[in-house]
Amino acid sequence: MKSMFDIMKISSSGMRAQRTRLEVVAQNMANVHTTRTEEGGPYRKKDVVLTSQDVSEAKFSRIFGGKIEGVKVEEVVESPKPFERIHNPGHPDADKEGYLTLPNVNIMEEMTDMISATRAYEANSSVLQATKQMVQKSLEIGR
Amino acid sequence: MGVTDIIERALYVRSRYQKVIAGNIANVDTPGYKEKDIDFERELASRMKGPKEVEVIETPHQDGFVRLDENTVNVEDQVVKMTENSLMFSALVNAISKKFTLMRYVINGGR
Repeated sequence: MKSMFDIMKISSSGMRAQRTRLEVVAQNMANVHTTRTEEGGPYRKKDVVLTSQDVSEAKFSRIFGGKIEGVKVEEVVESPKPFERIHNPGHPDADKEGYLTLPNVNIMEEMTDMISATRAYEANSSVLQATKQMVQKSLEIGR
Repeated sequence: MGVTDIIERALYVRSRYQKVIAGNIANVDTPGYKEKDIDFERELASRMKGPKEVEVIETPHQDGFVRLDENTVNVEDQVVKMTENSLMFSALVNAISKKFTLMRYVINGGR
């Protein structure tokens, strides 16, 4: 029974990771035109770094010859991609030549990231539901 | 200690656990709230020795990602814990029902 709940922990770690991705996408989208930040300069696109993480507590899961691995948000990093520059002399943040530096956020990229995060969240949620049904079915044994 | 006693205690700890999880989910947006947890096996073992209040502990933070409002609730994790808890509760209820069925069988003289 413990191993079934380990599967659920994997699904929850996946859902958590995908939610974080979606949070970061939302942040990037909201700041698509932000030219001023606390650190100075325009906003930098954020990226989520995910790593696998051992979620098993049960000793018998070692039978698989390895550990049961979920996913973990390692860190949120700033994208090193170059900023976009457009000619807009009227803007207060434009430089001497009239060029305005905009964030390195690409809306299309964010949209695809958003869709993939949503689908991955749904997939993890489906695994969770399936596992739950399996445990529920196991409660009916011998009835 | 009989089977009924053991199951009753386990059910008690499970119901308290559900309360802790409900509290965590309710406080998912409370700034500064720290996720709470109970060590089920330890609580059950201590209740086997005698009646004692369930000790609620703060979940150690293990994410590489901190929210600005310092809230540490992980909703997905809580939902999984809630599912596990309710399934185990059902299993315990099934077990105690079987025990009563057996008792009824004996009372009715095996009929």
